[in-house]
Amino acid sequence: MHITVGDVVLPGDLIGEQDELKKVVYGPGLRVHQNQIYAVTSGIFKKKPDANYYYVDTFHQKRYVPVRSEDVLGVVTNKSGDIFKVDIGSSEQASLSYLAFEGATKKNRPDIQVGDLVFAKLVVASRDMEPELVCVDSYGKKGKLGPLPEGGFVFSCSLNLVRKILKKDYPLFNVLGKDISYEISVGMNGKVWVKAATIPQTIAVCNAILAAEHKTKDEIDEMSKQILKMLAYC
Amino acid sequence: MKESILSISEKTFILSALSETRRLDGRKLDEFRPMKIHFGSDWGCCIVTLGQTKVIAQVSCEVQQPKPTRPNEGLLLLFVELSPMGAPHFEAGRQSDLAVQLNRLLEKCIKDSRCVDLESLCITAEEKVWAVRVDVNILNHEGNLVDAASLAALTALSHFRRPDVTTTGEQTIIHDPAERDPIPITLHHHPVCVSYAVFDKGNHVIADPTAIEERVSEGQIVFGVNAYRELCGLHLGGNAPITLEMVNKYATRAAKRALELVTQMKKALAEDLKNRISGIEVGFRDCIDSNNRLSLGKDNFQIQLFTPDFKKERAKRASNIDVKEEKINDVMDDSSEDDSEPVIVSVGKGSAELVNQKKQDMKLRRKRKLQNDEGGKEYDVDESSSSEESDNLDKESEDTRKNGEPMSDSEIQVVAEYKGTENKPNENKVIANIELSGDSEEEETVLLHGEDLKNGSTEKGRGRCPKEEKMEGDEPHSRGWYSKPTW
Repeated sequence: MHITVGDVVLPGDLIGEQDELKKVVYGPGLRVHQNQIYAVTSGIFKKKPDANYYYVDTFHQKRYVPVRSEDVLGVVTNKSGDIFKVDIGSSEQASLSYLAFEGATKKNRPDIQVGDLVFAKLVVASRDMEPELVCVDSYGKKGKLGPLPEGGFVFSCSLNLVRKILKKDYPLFNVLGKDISYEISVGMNGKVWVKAATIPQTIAVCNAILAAEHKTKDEIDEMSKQILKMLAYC
Repeated sequence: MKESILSISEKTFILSALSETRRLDGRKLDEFRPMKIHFGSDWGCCIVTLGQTKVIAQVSCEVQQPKPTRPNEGLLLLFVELSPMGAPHFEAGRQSDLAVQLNRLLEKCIKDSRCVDLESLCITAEEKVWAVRVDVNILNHEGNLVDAASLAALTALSHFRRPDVTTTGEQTIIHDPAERDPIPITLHHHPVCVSYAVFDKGNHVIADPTAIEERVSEGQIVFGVNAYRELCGLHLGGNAPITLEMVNKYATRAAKRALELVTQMKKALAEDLKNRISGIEVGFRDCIDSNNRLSLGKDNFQIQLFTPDFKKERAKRASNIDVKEEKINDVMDDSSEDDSEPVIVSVGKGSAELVNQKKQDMKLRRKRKLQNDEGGKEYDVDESSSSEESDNLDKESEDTRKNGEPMSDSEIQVVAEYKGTENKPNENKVIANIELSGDSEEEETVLLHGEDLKNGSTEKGRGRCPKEEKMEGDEPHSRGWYSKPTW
């Protein structure tokens, strides 16, 4: 490969030729075209440490590209026919059927208005079709999917921040949870919904999440201490 | 692309936060975002940033024929363009409603106020005049485009240099800038726009709304004011009930803000000129460096409890005064912190008062309210009259500052002393001339003394009908200056 792992690539950069003999997986940000491999997003060209899996790690990307089986947070923009149209921040609005809710029948429709927030899972997400969402899993149970409760505040942040805070051992939520009791819902499309008991607490949690973008794991503790100190003044 | 829909949760959150006088980005209700001005390497090119909102303005000029109705005036053309890089819902091509509104507001503020001296742009009357064109482009929309655009246009106009022209009888020579220094455009005054957003039927008014606050707002007020506190334009938009008192109150605040902006602009212009003369490189290079998003020290977020300036101020105070945790009184609109330290305040000549700071603030607020109720007129309010003991009319009262703006600190300073009259206090003073019909025999017009009012009335300035006084003053020691009626 002319471009080595760890290089910064821009869309259109030719990475190399497809090796027919080896089994290589090309992940997000790479595309194969006529036996050539191109980068389609800007970022760092990376490889998974123990597998033949290459991808481009994009930082500070805000525009969401739908990927199947990801959980996203969307805003209902339209009710028409048998489906809701939901804005998930991608190039096209996603559709969410009335029947894709727990216990929904043709007579018993879910009580969702235009402007409501829903947490749903992508079941169809391809380049050529409009994305489709469901609020129920394959057993018919809703789990944590469905419309979000009233109140709280929703804001957008970059995609890599969302991926970072959803990692298994990321301390942010626990550290904040020691002093503030709050409800949170994080969509992989960069939308985060927070609800705490009072308005300053909600703002504090949102601030902590936005500030965590540029902090390492060790600095999270220090940062949340500062924010909680500010909160004490309110 | 259509503008993305605003969810119900965002709307309700912003409105409930406002009812607690709280804003998403930690600003106070009347706080503006910091405005920064950067100049390009060409004359007449500048970028203005107001928080995340970014606007670029470029001025150019051309020789054209004047309008037939105004043959000795130059032309001023103003164009505002919403570039698609400003927001996802901005479209190139046909102008949207917002673009038309912006254009009109800027025209009102800059063109209709006649701040540019158009007659100085005339070369030959009826034949050749300079046509100055200002192109404003919105680079990023994060609320309050009008303010940024108006300041950008004004700064670009002040910065611009047009070529020098000499006219002989038949020929007109336009000199190359290399040959002869280009000359600046004359501006009579500097009008800028200051906007406010109105919520909850006029109960909450915030300054400098961000994009999301604008979308949730019910009404908008845009003032075009110049540095001399003259109103050059006014726009009331949306459908919130905006009262006259509100307009007056915020107009005075807008005037203060306009003065700050114009001073900042002049300072930036002077610095840029100095740099150019001394040969330092000028251009937009600094503009890019200051927006370095990857800096770990970034502490200004879209959603936060307090602004970085506020935090710095608190840190400074905490280090200066070694006290236990102070509670910030954020409930009052724009008061500074209320420490309950008693403070000695001078009240006129030769007297002082030990006043509790909080009490002072209350008085100030009451005074402010008085001023505001008067429609923001300059009003010499006798501050101590409502609470103090003396009811002598001609006492010296404290003068407030000669403007209706809120006091920044809780110090009362004697700026000027108000003396009712220069004469002795007990002289005859006509308080009110009560016009009575000449037919009445029972009533007489009499002059009132200061004594009468001291004994009789409790509110200053209210005259009393002499008939009433007759009824009450039927004592043996009553004044002898009026005669009892004899019939």
